[in-house]
Amino acid sequence: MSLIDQYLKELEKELSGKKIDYQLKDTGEVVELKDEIALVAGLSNVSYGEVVEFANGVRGYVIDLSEDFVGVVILDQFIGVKAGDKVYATGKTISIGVSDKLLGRVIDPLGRPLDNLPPIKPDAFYSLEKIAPGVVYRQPVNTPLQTGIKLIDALIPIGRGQRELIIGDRGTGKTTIAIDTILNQKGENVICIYCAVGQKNSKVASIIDLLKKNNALSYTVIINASSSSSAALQYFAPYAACAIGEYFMDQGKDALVVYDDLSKHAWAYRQISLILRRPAGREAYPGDIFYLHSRLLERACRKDEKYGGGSLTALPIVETLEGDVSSYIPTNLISITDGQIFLETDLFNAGIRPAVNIGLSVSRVGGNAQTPVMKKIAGKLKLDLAQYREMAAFSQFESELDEETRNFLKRGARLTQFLVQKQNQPYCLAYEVALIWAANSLLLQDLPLNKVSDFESHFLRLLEKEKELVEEINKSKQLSANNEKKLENLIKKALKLIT
Amino acid sequence: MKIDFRLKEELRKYLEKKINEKKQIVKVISVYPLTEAEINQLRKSLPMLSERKMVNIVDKSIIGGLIIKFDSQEIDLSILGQLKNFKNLLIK
Repeated sequence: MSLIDQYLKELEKELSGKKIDYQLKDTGEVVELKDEIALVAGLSNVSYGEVVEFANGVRGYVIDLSEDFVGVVILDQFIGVKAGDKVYATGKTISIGVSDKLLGRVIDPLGRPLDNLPPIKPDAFYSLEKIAPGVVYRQPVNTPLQTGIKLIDALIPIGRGQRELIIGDRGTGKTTIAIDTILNQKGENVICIYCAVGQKNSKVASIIDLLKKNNALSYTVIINASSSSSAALQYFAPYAACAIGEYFMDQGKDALVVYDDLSKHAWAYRQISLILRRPAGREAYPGDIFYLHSRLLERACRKDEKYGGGSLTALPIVETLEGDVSSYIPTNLISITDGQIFLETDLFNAGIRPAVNIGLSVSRVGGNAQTPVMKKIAGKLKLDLAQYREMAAFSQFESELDEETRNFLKRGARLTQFLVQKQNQPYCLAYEVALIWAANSLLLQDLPLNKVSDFESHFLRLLEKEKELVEEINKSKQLSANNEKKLENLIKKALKLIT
Repeated sequence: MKIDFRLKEELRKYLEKKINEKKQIVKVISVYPLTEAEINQLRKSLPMLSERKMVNIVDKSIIGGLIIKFDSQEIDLSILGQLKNFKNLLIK
């Protein structure tokens, strides 16, 4: 049969069919454009959160439904959209294509690649907006998420499924803590998602570079809505990151999402809200700014094994101005999250990095998830440091101190120095335990402050050779009396190496 | 221009009525004027149109087929619409 005959047969079939196969489309017309917000007349059957398509193929999202008009936020390039353009409803809610192939990729909040590699074929579509799992589906946080930063793992432990806020002024190392945590997840079976909102593209590029160099990109997804992206994309980025995290969590895996940072996310939403003429509240943020973040962070959870297990840990970052934690967005986030890591400029400039203010930082649920060995040795450290802080503040006014107090202050300063750690060098559990155990040890009573970092490097070099010891601590998560003796010997050896 | 408040209520009622009437009207765009029989057939195959008033508009640019519009809804059965879909498919 020739091709023409086939066509004729098809045509006949089409014509003889009585039923018309039609598609009812809801349409509207652009009336007004305000930056990325289009006011559309018509679309009388569209629902909130639906994706619409403009005549030139650009997509939009219904964000405002008033009596006469529909407010649509344009997701792509809004230059080129005209008043009078046709708008079609698609009947779909906004979602992102997810797949295991996302690992190692850089995408925008709509799932389009930003790394010059071919598009990702999705296995499923996950809705960006989703109601967080209810109480029945959750179980308490009980597994640690090792950040590889000894100060955090010892004093502000984070568990899988927790939401721990990283808060501080600009340039205090907030992103560094998050990135170090990602670097430390190598071989820990944690899928990492780094979501950059309103960041400089150069910063994101250097982060990608760093992750690549440390072979951390193979288990990481990067979502970027840079400061040059539209406010709409910046608004959706954290939800997209969360949706991808949920995809991995639903497979029973553990996922970690870093939102960097949510103050810019709030700005993007404020911009959209102000254009939509929604009533402005404190600092011109709209009334639902709290819900904006609470519904996002509530989606972090540790799922019960009955419902497939898996967890989603969230590390939101928020920037403060001059250490002011009482401004609107930081207070909101502090109350939503399960604790915060508070970073200070003064500490940072004094060379104490990570510049964590231990007094103001807490982890409300992570304590249950801390490894037994860490819990044992960190308890003493916490107490000592708290006493030291109090004493140090008090002793500033007194010129003459007795011997005992002076010794105590010296010890506190040494402990603080021991918690300093270089960036991008996360430690495994055994290293952390060994170092903190050493810091508590009486053998180092006379170690001068400026020799602490020397001692640390010698000590770690010696520890590196003791593969069995390291492995035993990492596996058993205990410190036996035998191993304590071994550590003692190592400390003595390391002390001899310092001259 | 300020509208007298005594007129306002009446005007609103009138406009509302007018808008509702307009909403009921179905526009059918075709390349040639449709006959009564063809319109009746259309009513039969699309039950939601049965009660409404129909207006036939001739527009050659749709090449062939029909576009049916009522309220904000639209059914595109034209060749032009299919070509557009095809174009989108190719681009994607």
